Amino acid sequence: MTCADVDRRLSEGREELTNSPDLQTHLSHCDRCVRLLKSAQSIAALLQPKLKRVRPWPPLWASVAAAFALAALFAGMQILGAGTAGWTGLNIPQVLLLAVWAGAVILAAAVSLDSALRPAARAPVPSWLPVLLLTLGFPALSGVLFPAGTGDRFVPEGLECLLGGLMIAAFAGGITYGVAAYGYVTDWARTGMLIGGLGGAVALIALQISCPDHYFAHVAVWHGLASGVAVLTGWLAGRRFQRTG
Amino acid sequence: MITAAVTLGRTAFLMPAASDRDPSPLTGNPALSAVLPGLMSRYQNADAVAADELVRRVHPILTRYYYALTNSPALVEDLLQECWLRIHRARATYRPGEPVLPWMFAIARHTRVDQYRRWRRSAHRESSIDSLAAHPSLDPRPAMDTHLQAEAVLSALAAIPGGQREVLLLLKVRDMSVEEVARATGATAPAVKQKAYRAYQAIRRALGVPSRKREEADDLR
Repeated sequence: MTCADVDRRLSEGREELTNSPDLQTHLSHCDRCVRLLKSAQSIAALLQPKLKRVRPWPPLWASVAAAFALAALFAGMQILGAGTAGWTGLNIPQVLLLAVWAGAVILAAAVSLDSALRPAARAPVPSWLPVLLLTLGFPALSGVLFPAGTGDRFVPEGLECLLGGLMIAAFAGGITYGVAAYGYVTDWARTGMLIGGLGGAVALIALQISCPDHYFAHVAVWHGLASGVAVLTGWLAGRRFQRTG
Repeated sequence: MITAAVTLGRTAFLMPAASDRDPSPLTGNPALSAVLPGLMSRYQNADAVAADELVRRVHPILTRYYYALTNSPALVEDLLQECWLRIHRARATYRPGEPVLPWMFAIARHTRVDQYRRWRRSAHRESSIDSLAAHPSLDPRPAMDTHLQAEAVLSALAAIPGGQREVLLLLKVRDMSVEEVARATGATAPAVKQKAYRAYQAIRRALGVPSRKREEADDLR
């Protein structure tokens, strides 16, 4: 019997291995296999007291539903707190296009985040897609949907939207981070970026519901900035976390 | 007999020729891949027997993986313990029905990367590469029929960049598919193919073996 035989039989789960005379003979002169068996036994002994039933990771549709529920929660809170002046001021095509865009961003972020939180998960959506939809797609869409111009109080109203958007993004990102803690993250920079992206998308939706300023410059700059800052903050925080462990 | 150093094809890298090949833990084992998802699900349900069996079956595979990457018995022990604790903590992230080994290798790889980061951060820069010769009983090479070019292959393998070496080990030693390696390493399939191709070229150059582009391309399909 060789060391490779021992490894193979262990991996194949052959029950007769432990009592095999061949094995005993091999172990009598092979420190490597003795050490391997002892190591496996000590690891098994280490894990036994820690055994506790865990719920397997939910299916993808559950992750997507959770992301939409998060967006709906903050949208509802925004409606209760700040009204629907933004939403009611939009025409039907604007509402439809914004809804499609928001749905696409939330879906892409949820799918991408689901794969980022599980080791070796298949990634049906690249992680750059939700970020691209958010940081470039939204300003581009705003250019199509909203008239040019800056409005009367470009900076004061803009700062108000930016601060409000950042607060919503921070809360939504915080909740998402709480969920992410149940996963196993191998790339924190990417995961942080996606958490920030999801938070930013939720903030954008909330702002579009309540903000009555529908000039392109206001929407693209201040609303877009809130989501962009959220993405950047998430990415930087993730990188820092990865470096410092 | 080993034909590794001469023919770097799919069936002949650090492995016996196909004709006299015995299924070994160095090669992929379809039966093992089939049984692991069930064990993993039972492990998630706190089944002690399943946990024990899972460790017994996968431990030799992870041990060889770490030996191939680090060459340090002490470090391998630390990595194995850390890796199993992480596997245990992360067991909820395994989605039933998915392949187990890429999931475990992703955690094993991440454990190694974190260990390297910690090592870089630490002030003391002790040498982590113990000579394998100092631990002859732990040397995996005797199991690989070390005659002739095996030493040269190992030297060439040690000389290529870590990312390429890892891809080559998972593809050729673990016999994982390109897709599985891509999942385990968090890379895309084309990136894995490219790394493997570069690794082949580097090893060929080191061994003075002429290039066989067509065969390698077929191998990575």
